[in-house]
Amino acid sequence: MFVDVAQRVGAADNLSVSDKSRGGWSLALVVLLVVLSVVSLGAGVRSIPLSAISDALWATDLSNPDHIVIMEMRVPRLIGALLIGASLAMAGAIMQIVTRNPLADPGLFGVNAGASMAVVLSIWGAGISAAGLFIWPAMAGAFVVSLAVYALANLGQGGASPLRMALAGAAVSSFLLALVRGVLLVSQQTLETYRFWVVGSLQGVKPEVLLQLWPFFAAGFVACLILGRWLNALSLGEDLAKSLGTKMGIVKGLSLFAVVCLSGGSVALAGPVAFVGLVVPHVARRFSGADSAWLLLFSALLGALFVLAGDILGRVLLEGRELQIGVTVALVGGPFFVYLLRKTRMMSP
Amino acid sequence: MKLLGHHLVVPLPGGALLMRKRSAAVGCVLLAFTLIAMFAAHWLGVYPIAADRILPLMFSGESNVDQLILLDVRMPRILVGVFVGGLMGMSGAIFQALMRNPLASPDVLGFNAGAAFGALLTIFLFGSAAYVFWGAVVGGVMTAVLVVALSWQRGLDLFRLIMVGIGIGFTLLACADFLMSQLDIQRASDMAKWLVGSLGQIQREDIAPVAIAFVVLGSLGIVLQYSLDRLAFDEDLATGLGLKVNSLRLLLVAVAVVMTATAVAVAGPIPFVAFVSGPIARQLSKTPSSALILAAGIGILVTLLSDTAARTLVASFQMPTGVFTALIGAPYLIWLLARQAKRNLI
Repeated sequence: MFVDVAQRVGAADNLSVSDKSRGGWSLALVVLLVVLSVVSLGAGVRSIPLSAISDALWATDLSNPDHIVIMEMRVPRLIGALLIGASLAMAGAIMQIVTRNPLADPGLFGVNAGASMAVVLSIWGAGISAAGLFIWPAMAGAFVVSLAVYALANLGQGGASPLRMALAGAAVSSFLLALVRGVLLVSQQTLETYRFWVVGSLQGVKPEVLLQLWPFFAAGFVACLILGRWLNALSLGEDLAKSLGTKMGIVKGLSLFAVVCLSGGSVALAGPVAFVGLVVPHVARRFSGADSAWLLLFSALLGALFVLAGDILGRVLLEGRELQIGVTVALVGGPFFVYLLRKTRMMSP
Repeated sequence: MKLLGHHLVVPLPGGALLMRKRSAAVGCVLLAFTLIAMFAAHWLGVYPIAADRILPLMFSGESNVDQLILLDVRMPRILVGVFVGGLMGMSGAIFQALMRNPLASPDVLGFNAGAAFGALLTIFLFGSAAYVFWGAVVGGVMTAVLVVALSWQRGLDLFRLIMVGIGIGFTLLACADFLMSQLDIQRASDMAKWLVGSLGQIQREDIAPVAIAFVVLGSLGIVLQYSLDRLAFDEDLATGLGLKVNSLRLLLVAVAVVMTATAVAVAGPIPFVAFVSGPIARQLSKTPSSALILAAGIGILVTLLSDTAARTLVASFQMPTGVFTALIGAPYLIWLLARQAKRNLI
């Protein structure tokens, strides 16, 4: 309902991409991803040569400080960047297809607002202050609030229409964020801890954290594999999808599950990182065409690439200090996105 | 004034205003609520003033503490709240109708981010909040010019406008975050407070700019509403009706941007008002039109109630208005959604 029919027809004409070019592009992106991963392991305050990196990976020697830096800090951080980049971008793509709104992003389910609320409450009420302890409150907040948003959008007959979903998500999110702001004004102590969590940072990604959170990402990725084909029918519009025999309830339920696992896991891992889920799918559509399975794949690749590049830049740009991933992603990604928009004709989903 | 089917015809100099009966009724109710809320806002407060003394105090020309508080403290704040709320409500409704997307409020499109960044930059450069007004106006307008220029391609491509706006908005917010991290904690917390949006710092001089903007831009908006609704419905139809699509879009974007920039300049980026007013107005009046007058009414009510709550609920602590706009607006929107979903209206 938000998309011009004319635009949709135009999109189908313009965006017929052959499987061959999709295969080629995805391969090229994977190669680029590997190269950047190696750069990410080597670059930083302590620059580590290529030979030492391969030594550290294949023959770890924990008395060598370079190896400790690689295995304890850089590898978890690299995995974290790849995971949240791919997850947020895929969650964004799913949200945009399901709500048929090009402005939808994972935050629209209230994931970030729920996580923020829970984190603020756990600092303010329970006095938690160590960054590593926010994983479970963040995860729980994300789950509870997104379920509430979904239930609200699903009230009445006919299930969640795109308009209901958009309004319900935005209303619940802004309500919770207003509460968060209120608490922060009352308690300066809470602000002191919270403001470092909320910019989004990969600094806290440690092996233990990854070990706790990987099931969520795994479940989310599996759900995306299943959803790939199903979502094609949904992007034709709900009525047409139903008449093609799609079980709307199952598709929407699984979409919710995927979005909550992926973006809940991301916000627990690195705090709320905006921009990726909203913007990357629009770039991915250039490569994938209208097919949603390919769209999810390219979103994952480009999202991972984007966050990884942002993380490297954030570590290298300012000497001795690092720019948080949430800031870098928007600072660098914004102008780049505008450049892409000027360069190419981009289509609404 | 006469009836024409389901419509009410209000004669105006040089034309007539056509209103659906239901919209007119909703408008009257909103007006009544607004007047009651304005009166209550003058009455309520930490300093007690008896309700029956308010009107006499306003017009008597006495000079005592009561009158000082009423006319110099409460009235400017309430009037500015009314104008700012109305401006934000109309601006949001124009953007949402023009972009055909309920999420496309000026907060999302980067225009508020531009105004906020301009304001923060003046705090950063001059070390005080003295030039915030002009920083916000210039920042908002410059951002809008940039966004429109970057999304122009043989006409205004609306989808690209939204996307460019989002990209620029995120970048500006990141710049603002960066500025804040470079400052000492005192100035940073000044900025943080301004970013929440509040009517707490309002003075008498602030009334004039928003009042002028409200009257001039508001009437411009109402004149343009007919074209806006045709544009929102179908481009080809609008062209067929003889509307100049591109210049109209530019004009509407310009009006909405100046509306939001002026409001943000005076009160900070009060969240949620611009987003919520349009949808609520439409759902109450059950009209497909952008219902600018009603959107302004909802914006005024939300802002006024929020600010009164912010002033009075916690006596010892001045909460900013921005905390309450969502606390009051969101539950109402949720209730409206739930009720209409049950009746299967949307």
